[in-house]
Amino acid sequence: MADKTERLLNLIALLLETRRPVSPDEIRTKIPGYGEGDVAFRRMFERDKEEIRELGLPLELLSADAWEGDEGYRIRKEAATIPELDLTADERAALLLAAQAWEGQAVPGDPDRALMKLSLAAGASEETVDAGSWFRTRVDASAPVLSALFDAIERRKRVTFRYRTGGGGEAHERSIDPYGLRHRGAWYLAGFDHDRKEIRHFKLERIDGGVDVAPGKDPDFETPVGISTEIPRGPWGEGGSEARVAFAPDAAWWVARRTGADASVVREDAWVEVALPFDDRRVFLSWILGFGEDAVVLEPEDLRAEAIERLRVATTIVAGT
Amino acid sequence: MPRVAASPRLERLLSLVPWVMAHTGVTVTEVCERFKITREELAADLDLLFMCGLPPFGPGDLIVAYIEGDRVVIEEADYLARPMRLTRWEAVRLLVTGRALARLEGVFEADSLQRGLEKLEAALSPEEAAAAAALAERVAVELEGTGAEPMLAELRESIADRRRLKITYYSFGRDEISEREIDPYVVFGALGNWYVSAHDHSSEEQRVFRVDRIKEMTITDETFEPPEGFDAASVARGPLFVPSSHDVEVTLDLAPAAGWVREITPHDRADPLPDGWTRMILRTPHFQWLARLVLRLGEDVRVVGPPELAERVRETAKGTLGRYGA
Repeated sequence: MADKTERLLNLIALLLETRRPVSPDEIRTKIPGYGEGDVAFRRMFERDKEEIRELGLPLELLSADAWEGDEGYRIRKEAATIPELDLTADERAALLLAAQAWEGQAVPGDPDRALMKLSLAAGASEETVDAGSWFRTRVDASAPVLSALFDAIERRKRVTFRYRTGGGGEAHERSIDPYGLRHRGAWYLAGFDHDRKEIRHFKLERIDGGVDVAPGKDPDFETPVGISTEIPRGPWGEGGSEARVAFAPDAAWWVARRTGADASVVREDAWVEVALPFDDRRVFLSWILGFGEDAVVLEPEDLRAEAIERLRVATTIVAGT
Repeated sequence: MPRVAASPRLERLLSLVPWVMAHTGVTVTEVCERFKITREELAADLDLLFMCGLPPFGPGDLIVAYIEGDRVVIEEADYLARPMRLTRWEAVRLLVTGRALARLEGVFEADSLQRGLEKLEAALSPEEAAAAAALAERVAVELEGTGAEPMLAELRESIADRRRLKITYYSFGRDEISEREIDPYVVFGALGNWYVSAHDHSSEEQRVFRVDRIKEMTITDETFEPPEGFDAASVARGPLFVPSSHDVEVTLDLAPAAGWVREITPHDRADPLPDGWTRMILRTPHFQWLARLVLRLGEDVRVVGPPELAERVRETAKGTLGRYGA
């Protein structure tokens, strides 16, 4: 029996080349490799059709004969192939940079092949323009869980996986409606957590093992409109509470640049007083203490007291287990 | 039922045929390099093509595909000569990184990127274009927002013109601001931050600087040449921390809640302890950043050794208390 790739390639060639729609019966007799039984043929043909659509080829089902009502298939060449396209060298270089960012093939759709197709359609040379030589960025697409998550996001299927919060501790099973993926140095999944009943973020590298996608073809949920899948950018928050913190001159400019906070209140001793919003006081205080002698919590009073208490404990630290 | 994935081999064949037909006289080596396949895989692909064609599959109906000498020949396959439209996933990957680059204002020729992305959308069928647009809404790549953006345009200029930079740099490891002259070679993103790999004239070593910690920079009139054989790609992929002979070994025990430290701190090893904590061993030439890390972690860390680190933590805590007037 003919190899599956061979069968599909023959089928695509036939459907591209035909002027009139080809009926399933005709396909079965003309294309080698479909075997004998009716049931086997129908199953194989269904899968072949899906694979053709997955390749991005528009498969049309048309009435083969206006009188008899037979149905048949074809792929219109104009719809299947890339139209004439002009792609200038600088446009190509810019897209090349976008393609080069990706590393790994756990995500469907090779960006390098996409660029190859565009260059072919434009009749353009693939000469590498050195536009991106000063600059490298990397979006890692090698984690095996990405494949399942992209699939689940596209088909709106619920996923389950085991997850470790904070990168440590026991892994617990989570049941999530995946809304979106976001890459910021690492991949994060945003989705509705069915146990916590709210939108949560999950760092992919903290997923323990694989991701199970719910069975069935129909979507499991609607992605709500207008929800934010933003990941909190830092220990400073959106503004549940506000703290006033004084930073040494050496640190203040960086805090302002990183957080976007206003650093215009400069004291006589050159320290800068900054107002910073925070949501999680534990995370926020930890971040401030990480500045060591370069940061002092001024307000709120209880946060300041907690900082002093933690520093007192730290003055007694000794090495050892 | 999971999605029926397109076979990678079929996808390859559908672009290999038009590519070879567009590059008349192309060699076996060139095809193998372009498609990242072995000579055996190419030979098998051509054998398969030779079996394919149109019904009734007589001698004149089959694709002609063979290797002659060192040249790859594909003929009689006009119906496969034009490249197929992009799939939604091929488009989505280019779209999300392309948009991320375009958002780094002033860093790229945003116009050409924008035009390229528009042409990309024209290369999809309307259905796939709609699917790609919907997917691209749900997958985002962020390159902005690290605090490095104000520095990128000048870094680009300096690297392109090979002009030395004078920088004011805040070293987190040592907690000090210094003036340095550097020859920048390449800017790269890692762990959500931007770094610049450069020759540092104050240490006469190749160093990595975090771009958002460069307070100020000036492009000087001095020019430089990158070292022979400098490979930007491998530097960008390499370790951020280069071990040196000044390094001291440090052992920290981390509570489960401090597990994130392992994700962002280069270390030699991390082993689980019976109580659920993790013992992390790392090497560093500077204690200052580690003392601050220990202050950050509070009761979620134990300093196992060396004692000098514990001493530095106590000093930093006392100094900070002094700032509080406590």
